[in-house]
Formats: sequence, C-alpha cells, structure tokens
Amino acid sequence: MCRYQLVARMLIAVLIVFCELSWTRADETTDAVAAIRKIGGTVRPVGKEWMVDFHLRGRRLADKELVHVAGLKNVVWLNVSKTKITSNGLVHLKGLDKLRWLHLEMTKVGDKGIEHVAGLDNLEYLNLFGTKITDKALGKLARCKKLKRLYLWQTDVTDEGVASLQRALAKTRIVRGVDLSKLASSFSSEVEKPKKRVALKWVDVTSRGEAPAKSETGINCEILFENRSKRPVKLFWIGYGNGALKFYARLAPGATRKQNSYSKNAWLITDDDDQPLGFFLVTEDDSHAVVPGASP
Amino acid sequence: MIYLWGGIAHQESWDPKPEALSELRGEFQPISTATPGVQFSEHIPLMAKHSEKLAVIRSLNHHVGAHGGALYTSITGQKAPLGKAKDRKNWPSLTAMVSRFCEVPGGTPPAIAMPYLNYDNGALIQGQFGGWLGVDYDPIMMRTPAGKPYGGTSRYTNSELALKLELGRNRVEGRRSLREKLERQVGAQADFKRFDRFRQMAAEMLLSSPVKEAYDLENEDPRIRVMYGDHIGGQSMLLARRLTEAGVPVVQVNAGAGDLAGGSGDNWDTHRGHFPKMKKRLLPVFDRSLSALLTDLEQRGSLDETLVAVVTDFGRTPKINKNGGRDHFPAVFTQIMAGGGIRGGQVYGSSDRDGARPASDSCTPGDFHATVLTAMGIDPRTELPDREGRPFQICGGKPLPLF
Repeated sequence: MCRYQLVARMLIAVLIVFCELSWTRADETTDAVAAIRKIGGTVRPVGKEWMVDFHLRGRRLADKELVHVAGLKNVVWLNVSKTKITSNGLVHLKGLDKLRWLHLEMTKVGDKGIEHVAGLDNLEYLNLFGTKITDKALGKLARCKKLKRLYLWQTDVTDEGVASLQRALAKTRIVRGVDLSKLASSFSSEVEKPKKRVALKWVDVTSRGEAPAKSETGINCEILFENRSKRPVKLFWIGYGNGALKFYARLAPGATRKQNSYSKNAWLITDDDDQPLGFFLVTEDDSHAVVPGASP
Repeated sequence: MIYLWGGIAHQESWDPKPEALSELRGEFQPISTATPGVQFSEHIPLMAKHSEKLAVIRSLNHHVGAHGGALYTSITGQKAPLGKAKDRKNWPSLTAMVSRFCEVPGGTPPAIAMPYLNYDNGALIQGQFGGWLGVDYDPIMMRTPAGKPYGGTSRYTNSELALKLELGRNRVEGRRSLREKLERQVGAQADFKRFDRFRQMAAEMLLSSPVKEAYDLENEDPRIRVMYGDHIGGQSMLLARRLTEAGVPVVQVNAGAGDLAGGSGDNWDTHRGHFPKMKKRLLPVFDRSLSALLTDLEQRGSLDETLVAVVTDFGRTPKINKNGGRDHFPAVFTQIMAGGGIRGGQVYGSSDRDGARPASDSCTPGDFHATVLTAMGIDPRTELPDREGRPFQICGGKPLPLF
C-alpha cells in the first residue's frame, strides 16, 4: 500500500514537473508570438508548427529582432523578404532546424549570411532573388541536400557557379529568370517600328516661285522633317487666315524632327537669315519631308 | 483570377482540333508545347512554352448559353438565378469567396478587380460581387493606370479606385481629421459605419500602405513593363502581381473590353470575323501578358504560392457561322490553372474530335471552383451562414485531381 502511495506520489510529482515544463514552454511560445506581432510580423500556426512573415507590415525588421523568431522553435516557414535584415541577422536562424521554406529575396543578405542558411538541413525552398550573393554562396549551399527550389534571379552568380551547384544538387530546380539586358532587345522591334512614310515634294523658291500665302486645314498626319543640306535651316508653319509665319524649329545639318500636322498645311523652310528656300505642301499620309542637299 | 469575358474559343486556344471535319476545323494550326503530346493553337506560342506550369482542363461544361447566366455560372459555380446585378441573394464570385477566408491588414482590400466590370450592352452582369457574403466582400474595382486600352466599349462606374491622386500626406490627414469632427454629429448608424469602413481603407491606402506603392507602376523596372506589353491587358497583369505581393489575397483581371456591345470591340465574343480578331487583336495581348505573368511569378519564386486561374463564360461552336464567327457553346470548353501547388504539364479531360462534347472526365464550373478553393487551403465543404442565417456549403463541386 505504502509502496503504491510512493509510486503515486512520484507520479504526481513527475506530472507536476511535466506540467510546469510544458507550461513554461507555452509561456515562452506566447511571448515569442507576441514579440513577433509587436514588430509587425504575422504568425500562423500549422498544427504544432509555425509560419512567420515579415514582408508586408514588418519591413523595418532589424537583424537583432530575428531573435524572437528563434524563440519560437518549430518554425517551418520564414519570410523576411524586403526587410532590412542583413547577413548578420541570419545568425539567429541557427536553431531553426525545422525550417523548410525561407524567403530572403530583396534583402541585403550576402555571401556571409549564407553560411548560416547552409546549416539548415531540412530546407526545401530558398529564395535569394535580388540579393548580392555570388558563386561563393552557391558553394556553401551544396550542403542543403533536401533543397528542391532555389531562386537566383538578379543576383551576382555566374553560369559556371550555377552549373557546379546543379551538379552537386541534381534534383534541385534552380531558377535564374529572364536576362533583363536581353529582354529589352527581344521586344525592341515593336517599340520603334519605322512608319511607312510617303516622300513630300520639296518646292524650291530660291530661283523662282513663291510659297503659298496660307495653309488650308485637312486630316491629321505626321511629318518627319530631315535636313540633308550642309547648313542649318528654320522651319515655319504658314498659318491659316492671314498666313502669318509661325516658327517651329531650327534644324541643324542632318537633324530630323517629327511634326504633327494636317493635310493641305504648308511648311516653309528658310535659311538662318529667314530667307525662304522652299516649302512642303502636306498630303493625307504620314510623310517624309527632306530638305535636299544640292540647291540650298 | 483572369476572366475572359465573352467566351474564348477552346479550339483556337488550349484545345486545337486538327482532326475535326474540314468545315469545322478553322484557319489556325496546332503547335507543340513544352509538354510532349500537348498542343495549343499557333497564336499562343508564348503560352505553349509555359505548358509545364499549366493544368489544362478540357472537359468543362454547363448548360447556360447566354453571357449573363454563363458568367454567373462560371464565376460563382452555381446555376444562374434571375435577379439584379448587385442583388444580395446572388452567390458570391470566386474572387469574393476566396477573399472571405483571407486575413488582411488595415488598408489592404480583401479582393480587387480590374480594370473594369463586365457589361453586356450597358447591363451590368450579376455574379461579379460579394452576393450573400455582403458588401464587405464586393471586390474593390481598380483602374489600371497604364497601357493602351482594349478596342470597343468599356464602362467605368463612379466607384473605381484610382490611387494616382496627387494628395500629400498632410492633406489626406487634414481631411480625415475634419471628417472625424463632422462625423461625431452624425452618430453610428449601420450604413454610415459601413461606408466609413471603405473610406477608412481608402485613406490608409493613400497614406502608407504597400498597396499604394504597388499601384504605382512607374516603380517597376521598365524592362519588366515592356515584357508584359504596353497594353492595359498586360499592365493589369503586372499590377495584379504587384498587388498580390503587397498583400492583397485575391486579384481578378478582366482581360478584354468591358462591354460585349454586340460582339464588337476587343472581347472574346467573336460572332463575326472570329479568326482575324483572335489572331490580330485578342490572342497576341493575352499570350504575351499571361506568359509574362507566369515568367515573372516563377523568377520571383512566388508561383508555388500563387494560384493563377483562367476562367471564361463558355467555349465556342464547332460550326463556323456565315459571318466567319463562332457562337456561344457551353457544352464543352477549356479553362486553365497554374501555380498554387497545381501539378504543371497535365491535361485533365478531353473533348471529342470536333470539340463538340466532353470525351472523357466531364467536369463542371463547380468542380473547378472546388479545385481552386482546395488549392487555396479552403475546404469546399465549409459551411457559412447566408443572410437569413441558414448554413450553406460554399461549393457544390468536387476538387479535380490536379495536385
């Protein structure tokens, strides 16, 4: 009887100690969750594990504040993208050996910080896009044997570095994204498609004839003026009504200018002393108006 | 969610029919995709390169042959009732329903739709809103601030949000404090509180939130903007990506002119001149913008966490009509999904030789919805109380085995 009592007491004692232990653990967890929320983080429980995000409201997250995440233990997901953390902050990842998803994109994390990441044996997803990491970091990541996806867009890694890591981690999908410098050229054809233009007739007025007295109005079109003469010329629009001249531009030798206009408008070309050289009468099509080289 | 208003022809996009009878076959040729054995139409060559990311569901069907009811069925997963566009008895759209289960911080709308709502000859179509979930879940309409518009008619209401206001912080805060003084005199009536909630959200958005930052497309790398294309279709996809990054849980892009206007304009209701319109106007913008979105999500490492679902009214008739068009056809059509844990490089179900009936694994918009909900971590059997407090299961379909 006595013996049973003793066993019972011991059991109760063990239970009490156990309860206190788990109570303390629950307390620690609550504190960690509260601390993370206080600095703008989101904590979501998934079973007995945790997902922690700072990328929306917690962007001011500083290196030392990551210690609160370390306090949470069973963290499987951590997103600190776009925050202020640097390589130094990653020292707090050390105890997070359950971590499977880690977002470090768009941070100041560099090669030095990857040392701490490479020790996370269960890591399956690692996003480093927009960081300054180089091939040095890739060398360390070869230790992450469970890594399924690695994102390296807009980093300083090289083709050789990536190829070498891919040999070490044959099953990992390494995403490098589009090459922005090539991207622009692949779409450049449509950015500046040369328009089909008809040639506008140049009417010389230096030897004979006169420019029209005024412009008429018509359909909207675009003229590309080009000065192929060896001296600068001035471009005037001959107005409606009284035909007043309106100055638009001075074109240096070889210069071009795109000009909005209307058909039946008249454009006068003069030399620098405002002496008329010739004119163009606009047609309905987009056109090319060349001030010729020989006569002016 | 990308919505293709008017009904994209399955034959000229995801489900080419090269073996169909010659009078049904159409002008386009099939091309190989990155997935062995899967072909797309020749005019979505960029999407063909992304096939390893896609689940293509070729056996969808329902019974509604008119646009209004078909949009309702596709977007809510339910049979179409006869009611008004904003009737609270309506079923919530998929966009609204998913947003119901997402937590958002202040200043972040639970759901955004852009660049305009879907109309048919001036009539606003039912099913695009929060329905019995309540006004809190009506997606916020947002104007895409850049890109060439779709040809044809698109309607703006008075309530689209354009965050490009040149208001300084002081002015917004000044207005808010003035408003608070005035409101103390009004009291706390329910309608007023509700109105206030939206205004609060708008003020927070204007002041500081990542949503405002995301809205400013000028902040994006110009080369990435070029990748999406200088068209409102492309810039809307880009804005959608930026908004989801800023914490908006669900974004709906309506990829076509907002009003069908009798099949004129750049929408998918191609009763006339189907082939030239698809080839020259619709598919190039769609192909480029959607493939840019997938490329971009992938390189940022967010495709696994982001579900992209392409939804449409219905498919189009195998028969080509006398105006060189294809007409409404709900008996079989195709929708696609990518990311969000969906296994890529797969085709679910099939249509027959002529693209006229499901040939295998027939499925419904409800099944499509159940799949989307499951991908978003929401049990399709979840019960919610409606406006009379009666419990409803949120989805009648069964998830498709796409994971």
